[in-house]
Amino acid sequence: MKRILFIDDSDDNLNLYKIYFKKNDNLEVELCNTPHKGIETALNNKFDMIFLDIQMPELSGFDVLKTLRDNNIHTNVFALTGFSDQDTISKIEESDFKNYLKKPILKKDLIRIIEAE
Amino acid sequence: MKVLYIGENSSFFNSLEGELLQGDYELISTNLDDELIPLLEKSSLIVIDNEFSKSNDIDVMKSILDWEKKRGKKNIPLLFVSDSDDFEERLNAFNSGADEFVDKFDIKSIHLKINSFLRPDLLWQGLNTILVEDDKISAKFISHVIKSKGAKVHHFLDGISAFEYIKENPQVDLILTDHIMPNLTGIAFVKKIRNEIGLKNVPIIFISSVQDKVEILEFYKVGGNDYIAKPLIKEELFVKVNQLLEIRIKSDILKAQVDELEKLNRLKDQFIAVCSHDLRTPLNTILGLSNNILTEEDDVKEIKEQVSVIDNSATDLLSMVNELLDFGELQLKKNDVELEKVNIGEILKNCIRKISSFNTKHIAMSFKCYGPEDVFIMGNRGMLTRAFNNIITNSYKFTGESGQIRGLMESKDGKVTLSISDTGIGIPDKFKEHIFDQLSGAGREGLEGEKSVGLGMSIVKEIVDKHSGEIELTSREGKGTTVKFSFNMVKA
Repeated sequence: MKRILFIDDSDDNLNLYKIYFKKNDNLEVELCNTPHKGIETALNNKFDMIFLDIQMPELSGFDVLKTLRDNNIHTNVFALTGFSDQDTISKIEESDFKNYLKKPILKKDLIRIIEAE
Repeated sequence: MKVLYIGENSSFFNSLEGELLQGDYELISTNLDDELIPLLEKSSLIVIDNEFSKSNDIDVMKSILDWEKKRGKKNIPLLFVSDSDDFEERLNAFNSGADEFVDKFDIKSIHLKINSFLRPDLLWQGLNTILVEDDKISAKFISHVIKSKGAKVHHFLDGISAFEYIKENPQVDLILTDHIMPNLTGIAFVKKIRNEIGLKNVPIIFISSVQDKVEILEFYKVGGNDYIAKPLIKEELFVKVNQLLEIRIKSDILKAQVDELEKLNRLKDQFIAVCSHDLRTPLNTILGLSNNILTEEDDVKEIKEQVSVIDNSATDLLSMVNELLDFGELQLKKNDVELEKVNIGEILKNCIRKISSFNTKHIAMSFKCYGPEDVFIMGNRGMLTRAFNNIITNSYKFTGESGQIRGLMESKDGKVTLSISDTGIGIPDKFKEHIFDQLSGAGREGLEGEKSVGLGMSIVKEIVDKHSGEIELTSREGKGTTVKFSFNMVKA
């Protein structure tokens, strides 16, 4: 049983991930719709991997990642990005993300990453 | 004084009317449905809409020129205004008898041109000039010429006192200075003004009885703009001062236009950023689920559920795109709105009827009328429908089950007021002040998750402005919102 956390400020996106994993009994999926709720949940629970939206106006994915690392959360984190320009990709690659996916996020891409962990 | 506008562009008319009112001019208009001659008799100047004149069968210029010939008096100034600055159009206009050809959107320049024809004594109104001249007789003469065109003159007998004054009051439009003066020569004075105070753009005219070429050259080198020799000739002074001041006025106008353009450019960038982000979100769902259905999902029940979610997202996307298109269309039609006599009560009633038809929230909708039921205004049916729909849709989005939406119409003293009130969640104070600005609380989600890009209210305001109407919004959080429109009525 793998435990996965999604942090994305769009309820529509979270709903999408919920639909993707609706019938998957091997996964326990947790969804947080604000970066702060996401940080709190990550700090108080153990997850096998975390998927993090980059473009959040309240607190960016980069800032959330830093906060997690500063609090000794060393879980593998994957970036989900709506922008695929070179600057954003470079910044993602330079940060401590294990990998990244460009939006629109397809189910098969998520499954591929999850099964590889 | 009356100025006659021959044309049909009502938003141009409104802008020009407002500007000319400040100069005590009354702007009247005709689209040639009425008798032209009586209007010509009343007017001191005619503004002819180039686009209107071209599209019209009646030869406007011929009628005017015939009338002028008949009455034998001095010709009335004819000012052409146009959307485009085409050289050929310009030439045609002047050939047909125009005295001037101006850009239609340059309202301030039009006002200035009208002033130059009708109020030459106000040509330089509002301009501040500094005169540094120790010869009192020359000073009196120069002051008189400049004051006769409406400008203000501050006279100083020497450069030092003028310099001290300008340091404290740098809002100067023109400086005239002599050279041979006590304490500070004209050339040294100009140097100080340009370098110590840093006024690089104020025009400076050098007045001198000295014909020394070396000295004149020195004057230009330190930053002077023009030179007039004594003894002064009134016409020469007038022409030189006029040229420099006109440049100054024009550059002020240009600067204001550049500021406006910069503001619009920033708004456009903001706009694109907000929209592309908002528009992308439903696409994530549409593409993600479509791909899932195409590659993996076999269960028909699941497929149907997912397609339903796709359908919702597509609908969200459509409503956002429509909002953008409405806004874009309004911007394009900025200056050409077609108005006709419309029954405003009918339009509002229809909008309420339409939303009643898919009222799944059991909201009580009503329309009441105090006074006559058939009230007419000059309006654009499509735009008014859009404006009312935007407000009613908002009311619907933000009002809960079994709430109320009430439409009301009242007419009094030539004005009709229509209001749309709801018992919804209201608008927080922090949004109220800028509610009609573009991209204000950009897209609050409705009670059932309805999406928008946040342009709805600014679209409504634009429409009301185009109808020369007024709009007022009152709201209390937790109680509800009321939007009130008022327009001028016309006879049935």
